[in-house]
Amino acid sequence: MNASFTDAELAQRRAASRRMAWLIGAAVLALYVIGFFFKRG
Amino acid sequence: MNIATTTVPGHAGEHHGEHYPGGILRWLTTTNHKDIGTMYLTFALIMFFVGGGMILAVRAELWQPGLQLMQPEFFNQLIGIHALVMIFAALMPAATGFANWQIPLMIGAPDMALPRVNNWGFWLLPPAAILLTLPFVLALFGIGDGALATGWTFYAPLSVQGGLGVDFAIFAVHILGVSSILGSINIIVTIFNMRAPGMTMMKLPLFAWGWLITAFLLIATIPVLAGAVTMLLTDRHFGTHFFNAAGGGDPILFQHLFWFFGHPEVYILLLPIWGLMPHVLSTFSRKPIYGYKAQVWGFIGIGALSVVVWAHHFFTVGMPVPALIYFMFSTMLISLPLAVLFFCWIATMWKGAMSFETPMLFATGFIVLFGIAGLTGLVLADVAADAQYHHSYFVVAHFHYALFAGGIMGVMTGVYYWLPKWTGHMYSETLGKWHFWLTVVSFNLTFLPQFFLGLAGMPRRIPDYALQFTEFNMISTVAAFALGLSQLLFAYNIWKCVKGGPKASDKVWEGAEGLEWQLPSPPPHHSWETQPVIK
Repeated sequence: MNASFTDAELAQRRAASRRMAWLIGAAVLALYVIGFFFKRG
Repeated sequence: MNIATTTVPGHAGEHHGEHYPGGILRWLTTTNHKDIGTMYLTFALIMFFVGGGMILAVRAELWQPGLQLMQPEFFNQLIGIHALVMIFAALMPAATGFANWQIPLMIGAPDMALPRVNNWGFWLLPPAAILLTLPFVLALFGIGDGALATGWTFYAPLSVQGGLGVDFAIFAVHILGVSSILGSINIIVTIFNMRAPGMTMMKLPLFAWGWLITAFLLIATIPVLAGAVTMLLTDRHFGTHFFNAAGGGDPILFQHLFWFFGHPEVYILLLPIWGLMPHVLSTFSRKPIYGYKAQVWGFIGIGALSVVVWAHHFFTVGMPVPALIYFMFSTMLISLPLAVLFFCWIATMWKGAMSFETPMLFATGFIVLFGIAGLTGLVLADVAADAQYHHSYFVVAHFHYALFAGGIMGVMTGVYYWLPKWTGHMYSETLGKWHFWLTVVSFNLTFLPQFFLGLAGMPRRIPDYALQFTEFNMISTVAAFALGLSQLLFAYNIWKCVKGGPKASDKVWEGAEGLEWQLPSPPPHHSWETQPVIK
């Protein structure tokens, strides 16, 4: 069976994508910032 | 993969009564994955010629000993910007262009998950490329002291002391990094959230798998590069001493940070190509892909190992022996999953009904020449041998076998393979074959002599050299110009194909498998309005 992508389903998939994108973005920022606080042993 | 789907009726701009702007505004504001893919690929092609032009000037200077055409400072600038342009502005955008065009088509998605982010990801590139190359132009008018002259690696303390060009490059790298991160996030969330029903991760096309690992590598390593160059910026202008030994800093720290990004970067450039190869080899061998799961695990293994081997780039800097041994063996370990990939590629072709259209020629050429890159890489991974080869032309030859034969010829494979799908026209097979043979012959004549130059002791990044290196340098220079000129055939063939030519069928190649071949050629503006179902 083939069905069209409904607007609701696309919206739900895109919302999930946005949430995941923010999470990865936060991880990237954390990697960038945390590095400045490491001290050499 | 057993696929059932419906074809999609309709034409660009007609869906949902949608209207999109024409002319330049279309390209500035587009959120369509195919438009953005086209922009990435066009940008990459332009920058490929810019970077190529720079290195032809370098090869002209190296035609014979002595200084002929330029001063050493300008020579150094050309070397560094050539690498940065080729890596960040040609190869990476080309792979991202492939991802934009193909991933939604291959996984049954109507578009990328975050279309506006996608637009931003691309439009950050041109300003970054301008920042990289602008110092050349300014220097011509007597402003500033030219582009960065440190090589693409920005090594401290040279980069701490360098001129304005270093600042330009630092800002360019930050912008390029943001662009890469945006693209990577988009690819990851698209693959995770936009797949057609029934497409489990173990049914995902290998091209998408290759890109998924690439995207995670970018997420893990670009922030480290950005951090390193930010620290460099603060050392240069804000009185910090991260990399200044006189102030208690450590120049070697920069090398560690840079190569923590720099080595995975090699796989960032190559994994999308390794993902593409099985599709091409399977298509033209008329056989299913051999060892799908083995290749997926190969990608994952290579990705994981790539972030723990960085220090093999500077064995000679003076590391403790246990560190040398660790980095030597961990580097050599990468050859195992890579050998699995090679085995699977060859097994896919084995006893197949092979035909050698241009994409298949490039794919087989890739396997042979990239094999040379792998074997010479093993030599360089050996600490004792590397003491001889380090910073010699052997290294230059090795990484051009990896990044030209492995990277750029891989991109050419993909362009010839998918161009008929993208444009709806067939390219000229005759021109394609001429392009392949001229490229392969001139490439080998350019870089094979450089192995011998390196073995004989010629250091890299020098504008002048001892008399005994003359003959091999002359061969290399003549062949480099032939290599550069033969790429005009590539550009002309693409141009001709975009403008017209014999109509391409939906399933362009007889042996092609996968969702993308079930859409019309060219695909409609919205790729999958009707969900394909994967059995």
